[in-house]
Amino acid sequence: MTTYSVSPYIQLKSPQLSDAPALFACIAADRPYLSQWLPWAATTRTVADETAFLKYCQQRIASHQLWLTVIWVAGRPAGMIDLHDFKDHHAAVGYWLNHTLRGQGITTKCLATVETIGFNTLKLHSLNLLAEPENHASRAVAEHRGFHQDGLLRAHIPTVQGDYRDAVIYSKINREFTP
Amino acid sequence: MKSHFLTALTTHLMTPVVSDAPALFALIDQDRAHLARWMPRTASIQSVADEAAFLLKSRERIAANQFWLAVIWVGTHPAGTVDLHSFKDGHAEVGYWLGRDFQGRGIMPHVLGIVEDVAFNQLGLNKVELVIATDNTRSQAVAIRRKFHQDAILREHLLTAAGTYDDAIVYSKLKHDGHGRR
Repeated sequence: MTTYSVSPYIQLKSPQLSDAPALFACIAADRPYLSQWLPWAATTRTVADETAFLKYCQQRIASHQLWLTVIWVAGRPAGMIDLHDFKDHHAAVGYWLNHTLRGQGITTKCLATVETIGFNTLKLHSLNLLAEPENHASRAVAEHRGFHQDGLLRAHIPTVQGDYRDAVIYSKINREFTP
Repeated sequence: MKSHFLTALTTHLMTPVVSDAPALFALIDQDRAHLARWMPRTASIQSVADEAAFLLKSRERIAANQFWLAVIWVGTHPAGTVDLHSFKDGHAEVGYWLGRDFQGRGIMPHVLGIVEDVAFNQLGLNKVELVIATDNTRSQAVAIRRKFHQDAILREHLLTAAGTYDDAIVYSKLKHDGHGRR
């Protein structure tokens, strides 16, 4: 298992099926908020659902279609951060964090580590990041890390209600990266 | 083929078959330098067999609902292809190319109108996107003719055959944007 150290109390670790109960507890405790932005939060109803998702992630990681780690804070699984949609030497960043831990710059620190991996290890040319216009927490992470706002993709992200929301698209190019 | 009555010929879209490969390869080979600038796949098409393999692979991906591709026919001649790819979350991206003698005759806006109809009314998509290099003004004109909305300029997004990156304009059209076929 690979572990990346973000700070003395934050690590990024490759996903294990044994992470499912702790991750499910985070999702269950924060379902209404997470579901606003992440439709899968509404459909993850049991620990078994989360286990199945982790299995799927492990398969996608093994076939190099996904890079994903579990965010560990103070010794517990607390969220996830990933790179997906690899194409033409770019990829998209995704993340979520347990609500009790938000607002402390944890995701911003994790993103800095993921940028290092994306640019230096995976040799990507650029990273993209999508966030709904009203998702201020997610946008703050992108903006703290100096991502550039490239535009607004209309009706880009499906909602639990079956309609679509716009997405702000951000980017960072490898030469703009400083750890 | 380059004649004033060309646009009067019926333009229609057909499911790709392997027997289209010789005609499509000839069009690609004839205009290789220009096509390769915007379509990196061009470099990998060095023979009729390469194009036939691409068409066969396309048919597999179409059957798996990961892809949609049609051959553009003008009269009795294959003129290019148009596709929908990167299906995700109720949207997909359109890709297209036309042989040199078929360009600049208003064929592509007409074809795009048909593809919008397929995307929204047959495939059930909510949005189609066009991702076009900022220097590819000819392709941008097609998007503008079809009243696509400019959503974003993605910096250094498209990998070129030369190994450099082009900025890309993202255009979108939503199912409820309207704008009929013509």
